[in-house]
Amino acid sequence: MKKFGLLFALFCSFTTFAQNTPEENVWFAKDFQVGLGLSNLMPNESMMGDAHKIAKPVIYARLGIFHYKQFTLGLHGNASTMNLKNTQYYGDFDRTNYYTLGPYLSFFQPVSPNIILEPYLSYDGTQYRSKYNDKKLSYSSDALGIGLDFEYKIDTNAYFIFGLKYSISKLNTNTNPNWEKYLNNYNFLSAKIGFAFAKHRL
Amino acid sequence: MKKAGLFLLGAVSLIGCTDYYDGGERTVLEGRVISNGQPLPYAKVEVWPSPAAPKSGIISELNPYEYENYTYNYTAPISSVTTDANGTVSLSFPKNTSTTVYFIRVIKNNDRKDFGFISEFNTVNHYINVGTLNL
Repeated sequence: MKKFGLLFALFCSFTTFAQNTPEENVWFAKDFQVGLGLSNLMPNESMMGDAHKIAKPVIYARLGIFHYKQFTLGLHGNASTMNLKNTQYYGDFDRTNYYTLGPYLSFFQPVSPNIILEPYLSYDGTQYRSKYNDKKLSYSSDALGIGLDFEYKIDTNAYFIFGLKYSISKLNTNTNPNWEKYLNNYNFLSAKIGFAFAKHRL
Repeated sequence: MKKAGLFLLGAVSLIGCTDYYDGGERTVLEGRVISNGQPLPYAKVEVWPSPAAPKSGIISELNPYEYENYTYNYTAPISSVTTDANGTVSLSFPKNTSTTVYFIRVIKNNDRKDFGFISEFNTVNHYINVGTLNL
Protein backbone atom coordinates (compact mmCIF):
# COMPACT_ATOMS: atom_id res chain seq x y z
CA MET A 1 0.00 0.00 0.00
CA LYS A 2 2.91 2.37 0.82
CA LYS A 3 4.53 1.58 -2.53
CA PHE A 4 1.25 2.23 -4.32
CA GLY A 5 0.92 5.60 -2.54
CA LEU A 6 4.45 6.57 -3.52
CA LEU A 7 3.92 5.56 -7.15
CA PHE A 8 0.65 7.49 -7.23
CA ALA A 9 2.32 10.63 -5.78
CA LEU A 10 5.14 10.36 -8.32
CA PHE A 11 2.68 9.98 -11.17
CA CYS A 12 0.65 12.99 -10.02
CA SER A 13 3.72 15.21 -9.68
CA PHE A 14 4.99 14.01 -13.06
CA THR A 15 1.74 14.96 -14.81
CA THR A 16 1.21 18.14 -12.79
CA PHE A 17 4.60 19.78 -13.21
CA ALA A 18 5.56 18.60 -16.64
CA GLN A 19 5.58 20.91 -19.63
CA ASN A 20 2.04 21.64 -20.77
CA THR A 21 2.54 22.21 -24.47
CA PRO A 22 2.85 19.12 -26.69
CA GLU A 23 5.86 19.17 -28.96
CA GLU A 24 4.44 16.33 -31.05
CA ASN A 25 0.98 15.21 -32.11
CA VAL A 26 1.49 11.88 -30.42
CA TRP A 27 2.39 11.22 -26.79
CA PHE A 28 1.98 8.43 -24.30
CA ALA A 29 0.45 7.91 -20.86
CA LYS A 30 -0.14 11.52 -19.86
CA ASP A 31 -3.67 11.18 -18.57
CA PHE A 32 -4.91 9.59 -15.36
CA GLN A 33 -8.27 9.78 -13.63
CA VAL A 34 -9.72 8.50 -10.34
CA GLY A 35 -13.18 8.98 -8.93
CA LEU A 36 -16.11 7.79 -6.90
CA GLY A 37 -19.70 7.49 -7.98
CA LEU A 38 -22.99 5.70 -8.25
CA SER A 39 -24.18 3.17 -10.79
CA ASN A 40 -27.27 1.15 -11.72
CA LEU A 41 -29.15 4.47 -11.93
CA MET A 42 -32.37 4.48 -13.98
CA PRO A 43 -31.96 0.90 -15.25
CA ASN A 44 -34.18 -0.42 -18.01
CA GLU A 45 -36.89 -2.99 -17.23
CA SER A 46 -34.64 -6.00 -16.86
CA MET A 47 -33.76 -8.78 -14.47
CA MET A 48 -30.57 -7.01 -13.36
CA GLY A 49 -32.22 -3.63 -12.98
CA ASP A 50 -35.25 -4.98 -11.13
CA ALA A 51 -33.14 -7.18 -8.87
CA HIS A 52 -30.51 -4.69 -7.69
CA LYS A 53 -30.40 -1.48 -5.72
CA ILE A 54 -28.10 1.39 -6.69
CA ALA A 55 -24.42 0.42 -6.78
CA LYS A 56 -22.53 2.56 -4.26
CA PRO A 57 -19.87 3.57 -3.99
CA VAL A 58 -18.32 2.80 -7.35
CA ILE A 59 -14.55 3.29 -7.53
CA TYR A 60 -13.40 4.47 -10.95
CA ALA A 61 -9.97 4.74 -12.52
CA ARG A 62 -8.73 5.18 -16.03
CA LEU A 63 -5.39 5.64 -17.72
CA GLY A 64 -4.89 7.27 -21.08
CA ILE A 65 -2.18 5.34 -22.88
CA PHE A 66 -1.98 6.62 -26.43
CA HIS A 67 -2.71 10.25 -27.27
CA TYR A 68 -3.08 11.68 -30.74
CA LYS A 69 -3.99 15.36 -30.81
CA GLN A 70 -7.29 15.50 -28.91
CA PHE A 71 -7.94 11.75 -29.03
CA THR A 72 -6.98 9.36 -26.26
CA LEU A 73 -7.01 5.58 -26.27
CA GLY A 74 -6.70 4.02 -22.85
CA LEU A 75 -7.88 1.54 -20.27
CA HIS A 76 -10.56 2.07 -17.68
CA GLY A 77 -11.90 0.07 -14.74
CA ASN A 78 -14.39 0.27 -11.94
CA ALA A 79 -15.62 -1.88 -9.08
CA SER A 80 -18.56 -1.81 -6.72
CA THR A 81 -21.24 -3.77 -4.91
CA MET A 82 -25.04 -3.83 -5.18
CA ASN A 83 -27.55 -5.15 -2.67
CA LEU A 84 -30.47 -7.22 -3.93
CA LYS A 85 -34.02 -5.92 -3.64
CA ASN A 86 -36.07 -8.37 -5.73
CA THR A 87 -34.85 -11.92 -6.21
CA GLN A 88 -37.79 -13.31 -8.19
CA TYR A 89 -35.97 -13.71 -11.51
CA TYR A 90 -32.43 -13.46 -10.19
CA GLY A 91 -32.11 -16.19 -7.60
CA ASP A 92 -31.85 -16.22 -3.84
CA PHE A 93 -28.83 -13.97 -3.17
CA ASP A 94 -28.33 -10.84 -1.11
CA ARG A 95 -25.41 -9.02 -2.71
CA THR A 96 -23.60 -8.73 -6.02
CA ASN A 97 -20.00 -7.58 -6.35
CA TYR A 98 -18.61 -6.70 -9.74
CA TYR A 99 -15.64 -5.25 -11.53
CA THR A 100 -15.37 -3.82 -15.02
CA LEU A 101 -12.36 -3.46 -17.29
CA GLY A 102 -11.95 -2.36 -20.87
CA PRO A 103 -10.52 0.08 -23.39
CA TYR A 104 -11.92 3.52 -24.14
CA LEU A 105 -11.57 6.13 -26.84
CA SER A 106 -12.10 9.77 -25.91
CA PHE A 107 -11.93 13.18 -27.53
CA PHE A 108 -11.32 16.30 -25.44
CA GLN A 109 -12.70 19.66 -26.46
CA PRO A 110 -11.93 22.84 -24.48
CA VAL A 111 -15.06 24.99 -24.24
CA SER A 112 -13.65 27.80 -22.06
CA PRO A 113 -10.28 28.70 -20.51
CA ASN A 114 -11.05 26.41 -17.57
CA ILE A 115 -13.51 23.84 -18.85
CA ILE A 116 -13.09 20.79 -21.05
CA LEU A 117 -15.74 18.42 -22.31
CA GLU A 118 -14.53 14.90 -23.00
CA PRO A 119 -17.01 12.52 -24.63
CA TYR A 120 -15.91 8.91 -24.92
CA LEU A 121 -16.89 5.43 -25.98
CA SER A 122 -15.85 2.39 -24.01
CA TYR A 123 -16.06 -1.36 -24.08
CA ASP A 124 -16.98 -2.63 -20.62
CA GLY A 125 -16.30 -6.27 -19.78
CA THR A 126 -17.84 -7.00 -16.40
CA GLN A 127 -17.51 -9.97 -14.06
CA TYR A 128 -20.26 -10.38 -11.46
CA ARG A 129 -20.20 -12.43 -8.26
CA SER A 130 -23.25 -12.92 -6.01
CA LYS A 131 -23.43 -14.76 -2.72
CA TYR A 132 -25.78 -15.70 0.06
CA ASN A 133 -26.14 -18.62 2.45
CA ASP A 134 -23.21 -20.70 1.16
CA LYS A 135 -24.23 -20.09 -2.45
CA LYS A 136 -22.08 -18.40 -5.03
CA LEU A 137 -23.08 -17.24 -8.48
CA SER A 138 -20.81 -15.95 -11.21
CA TYR A 139 -21.50 -14.55 -14.67
CA SER A 140 -20.34 -11.84 -17.03
CA SER A 141 -21.55 -9.19 -19.44
CA ASP A 142 -20.30 -7.13 -22.36
CA ALA A 143 -21.30 -3.51 -22.74
CA LEU A 144 -20.92 -0.41 -24.84
CA GLY A 145 -20.46 2.70 -22.71
CA ILE A 146 -21.27 6.19 -23.96
CA GLY A 147 -19.97 8.83 -21.59
CA LEU A 148 -19.30 12.51 -21.15
CA ASP A 149 -16.87 14.05 -18.64
CA PHE A 150 -17.01 17.70 -17.61
CA GLU A 151 -13.53 18.73 -16.50
CA TYR A 152 -12.79 21.93 -14.58
CA LYS A 153 -9.18 23.03 -14.36
CA ILE A 154 -7.97 23.41 -10.78
CA ASP A 155 -4.22 23.40 -11.34
CA THR A 156 -1.68 23.31 -14.18
CA ASN A 157 -2.48 19.75 -15.12
CA ALA A 158 -5.18 18.83 -12.61
CA TYR A 159 -8.92 18.86 -13.17
CA PHE A 160 -12.02 18.27 -11.12
CA ILE A 161 -14.34 16.00 -13.07
CA PHE A 162 -18.03 15.22 -13.13
CA GLY A 163 -19.01 12.43 -15.47
CA LEU A 164 -22.10 10.68 -16.74
CA LYS A 165 -22.14 7.43 -18.66
CA TYR A 166 -24.86 5.27 -20.16
CA SER A 167 -24.07 1.57 -20.53
CA ILE A 168 -25.85 -0.73 -22.93
CA SER A 169 -24.97 -4.21 -21.75
CA LYS A 170 -25.83 -7.79 -22.51
CA LEU A 171 -25.32 -10.65 -20.10
CA ASN A 172 -23.49 -13.68 -21.47
CA THR A 173 -26.32 -16.02 -20.54
CA ASN A 174 -28.05 -18.76 -22.51
CA THR A 175 -31.76 -18.74 -21.73
CA ASN A 176 -35.19 -19.08 -23.31
CA PRO A 177 -35.50 -16.87 -26.42
CA ASN A 178 -38.86 -15.48 -25.23
CA TRP A 179 -37.23 -14.28 -22.01
CA GLU A 180 -33.85 -13.25 -23.32
CA LYS A 181 -34.67 -9.56 -23.67
CA TYR A 182 -35.74 -9.26 -20.02
CA LEU A 183 -33.06 -11.53 -18.57
CA ASN A 184 -30.05 -10.43 -20.61
CA ASN A 185 -30.45 -6.81 -21.70
CA TYR A 186 -29.32 -4.45 -18.99
CA ASN A 187 -28.92 -0.72 -19.54
CA PHE A 188 -28.14 1.80 -16.84
CA LEU A 189 -26.69 5.20 -16.05
CA SER A 190 -23.60 5.90 -13.94
CA ALA A 191 -22.42 9.15 -12.39
CA LYS A 192 -19.02 10.00 -10.96
CA ILE A 193 -16.94 12.80 -9.50
CA GLY A 194 -13.19 12.74 -9.19
CA PHE A 195 -9.89 14.17 -10.32
CA ALA A 196 -8.03 13.95 -13.59
CA PHE A 197 -4.34 14.59 -14.09
CA ALA A 198 -3.56 15.29 -17.72
CA LYS A 199 -0.98 17.13 -19.78
CA HIS A 200 -1.31 19.01 -23.04
CA ARG A 201 -4.90 20.16 -22.64
CA LEU A 202 -5.44 23.77 -21.52
CA MET B 1 0.02 -29.12 14.48
CA LYS B 2 -3.26 -30.50 15.78
CA LYS B 3 -4.80 -27.02 15.64
CA ALA B 4 -3.57 -26.53 12.07
CA GLY B 5 -5.10 -29.88 11.09
CA LEU B 6 -8.41 -28.93 12.67
CA PHE B 7 -8.34 -25.54 10.95
CA LEU B 8 -7.63 -27.20 7.60
CA LEU B 9 -10.43 -29.73 8.16
CA GLY B 10 -12.82 -26.90 9.05
CA ALA B 11 -11.81 -24.91 5.99
CA VAL B 12 -12.22 -27.94 3.71
CA SER B 13 -15.65 -28.73 5.18
CA LEU B 14 -16.69 -25.09 4.72
CA ILE B 15 -15.56 -25.17 1.10
CA GLY B 16 -17.44 -28.42 0.64
CA CYS B 17 -20.69 -26.76 1.81
CA THR B 18 -20.76 -24.07 -0.85
CA ASP B 19 -23.15 -24.44 -3.78
CA TYR B 20 -21.80 -22.91 -6.99
CA TYR B 21 -24.00 -21.51 -9.73
CA ASP B 22 -23.15 -20.53 -13.28
CA GLY B 23 -25.06 -17.50 -14.53
CA GLY B 24 -24.12 -18.45 -18.09
CA GLU B 25 -27.20 -20.71 -18.14
CA ARG B 26 -30.58 -19.62 -16.81
CA THR B 27 -33.87 -21.58 -16.77
CA VAL B 28 -37.30 -19.97 -16.62
CA LEU B 29 -39.99 -21.75 -14.59
CA GLU B 30 -43.72 -21.07 -14.68
CA GLY B 31 -46.63 -22.87 -13.02
CA ARG B 32 -49.58 -22.65 -10.70
CA VAL B 33 -50.24 -23.72 -7.11
CA ILE B 34 -53.69 -24.81 -5.92
CA SER B 35 -55.18 -26.11 -2.70
CA ASN B 36 -58.58 -27.80 -2.45
CA GLY B 37 -59.11 -27.00 -6.11
CA GLN B 38 -58.62 -23.26 -5.57
CA PRO B 39 -55.66 -21.09 -6.57
CA LEU B 40 -53.33 -20.65 -3.62
CA PRO B 41 -52.07 -17.06 -3.29
CA TYR B 42 -48.89 -16.07 -1.45
CA ALA B 43 -47.58 -19.60 -1.01
CA LYS B 44 -43.81 -19.92 -0.83
CA VAL B 45 -42.24 -21.75 -3.77
CA GLU B 46 -38.61 -22.83 -3.58
CA VAL B 47 -36.40 -24.43 -6.19
CA TRP B 48 -33.68 -26.70 -4.80
CA PRO B 49 -30.87 -28.50 -6.58
CA SER B 50 -31.03 -32.25 -6.16
CA PRO B 51 -28.68 -35.20 -6.59
CA ALA B 52 -31.61 -37.39 -7.77
CA ALA B 53 -31.52 -39.12 -11.15
CA PRO B 54 -35.07 -39.03 -12.53
CA LYS B 55 -36.00 -41.37 -15.38
CA SER B 56 -38.78 -39.26 -16.88
CA GLY B 57 -40.00 -35.70 -17.14
CA ILE B 58 -43.22 -36.20 -15.21
CA ILE B 59 -43.63 -33.70 -12.35
CA SER B 60 -45.45 -35.16 -9.36
CA GLU B 61 -45.42 -35.03 -5.58
CA LEU B 62 -42.25 -36.62 -4.28
CA ASN B 63 -42.47 -39.53 -1.94
CA PRO B 64 -39.62 -39.24 0.58
CA TYR B 65 -39.44 -43.05 0.82
CA GLU B 66 -39.19 -43.50 -2.93
CA TYR B 67 -36.63 -40.71 -3.39
CA GLU B 68 -34.84 -41.00 -0.10
CA ASN B 69 -31.85 -38.87 -1.01
CA TYR B 70 -33.28 -36.15 -3.17
CA THR B 71 -32.71 -33.38 -0.61
CA TYR B 72 -29.10 -34.33 0.18
CA ASN B 73 -25.93 -32.38 -0.57
CA TYR B 74 -27.34 -28.89 -1.02
CA THR B 75 -27.63 -26.24 1.67
CA ALA B 76 -30.20 -23.76 0.38
CA PRO B 77 -32.72 -23.18 -2.41
CA ILE B 78 -31.53 -21.31 -5.47
CA SER B 79 -34.85 -19.53 -5.78
CA SER B 80 -37.45 -18.59 -3.20
CA VAL B 81 -40.55 -16.66 -4.31
CA THR B 82 -44.25 -16.42 -3.47
CA THR B 83 -47.21 -17.12 -5.72
CA ASP B 84 -49.25 -14.12 -6.82
CA ALA B 85 -52.93 -13.51 -6.01
CA ASN B 86 -53.94 -16.06 -8.69
CA GLY B 87 -51.61 -18.74 -7.39
CA THR B 88 -49.26 -18.47 -10.34
CA VAL B 89 -45.51 -18.61 -10.01
CA SER B 90 -42.88 -17.31 -12.41
CA LEU B 91 -39.16 -17.24 -11.77
CA SER B 92 -35.78 -17.97 -13.27
CA PHE B 93 -32.73 -19.58 -11.77
CA PRO B 94 -29.07 -20.07 -12.81
CA LYS B 95 -27.51 -23.47 -13.41
CA ASN B 96 -25.99 -25.36 -10.53
CA THR B 97 -22.47 -26.43 -11.48
CA SER B 98 -22.81 -29.94 -10.02
CA THR B 99 -26.31 -31.03 -11.08
CA THR B 100 -28.96 -30.40 -13.71
CA VAL B 101 -31.77 -31.77 -11.53
CA TYR B 102 -33.96 -29.69 -9.20
CA PHE B 103 -37.05 -30.16 -7.10
CA ILE B 104 -39.77 -27.70 -6.08
CA ARG B 105 -40.87 -27.15 -2.49
CA VAL B 106 -44.25 -25.49 -1.85
CA ILE B 107 -44.92 -24.12 1.64
CA LYS B 108 -47.99 -22.43 3.06
CA ASN B 109 -48.44 -22.09 6.82
CA ASN B 110 -47.76 -25.59 8.22
CA ASP B 111 -48.26 -27.45 4.94
CA ARG B 112 -45.31 -28.44 2.82
CA LYS B 113 -44.94 -30.63 -0.24
CA ASP B 114 -42.06 -31.40 -2.58
CA PHE B 115 -42.52 -31.91 -6.32
CA GLY B 116 -40.07 -33.16 -8.88
CA PHE B 117 -38.13 -33.30 -10.84
CA ILE B 118 -37.00 -30.50 -13.10
CA SER B 119 -34.46 -32.13 -15.40
CA GLU B 120 -33.31 -32.42 -19.00
CA PHE B 121 -36.40 -34.55 -19.67
CA ASN B 122 -38.83 -31.67 -19.23
CA THR B 123 -36.77 -28.55 -19.78
CA VAL B 124 -36.87 -27.27 -23.36
CA ASN B 125 -34.92 -24.21 -24.48
CA HIS B 126 -34.20 -23.31 -20.84
CA TYR B 127 -37.92 -23.24 -20.06
CA ILE B 128 -40.22 -25.44 -18.01
CA ASN B 129 -43.89 -25.13 -17.20
CA VAL B 130 -44.44 -27.30 -14.13
CA GLY B 131 -48.24 -27.22 -14.57
CA THR B 132 -50.48 -27.26 -11.50
CA LEU B 133 -48.98 -28.18 -8.13
CA ASN B 134 -51.56 -29.29 -5.58
CA LEU B 135 -50.65 -28.47 -1.97
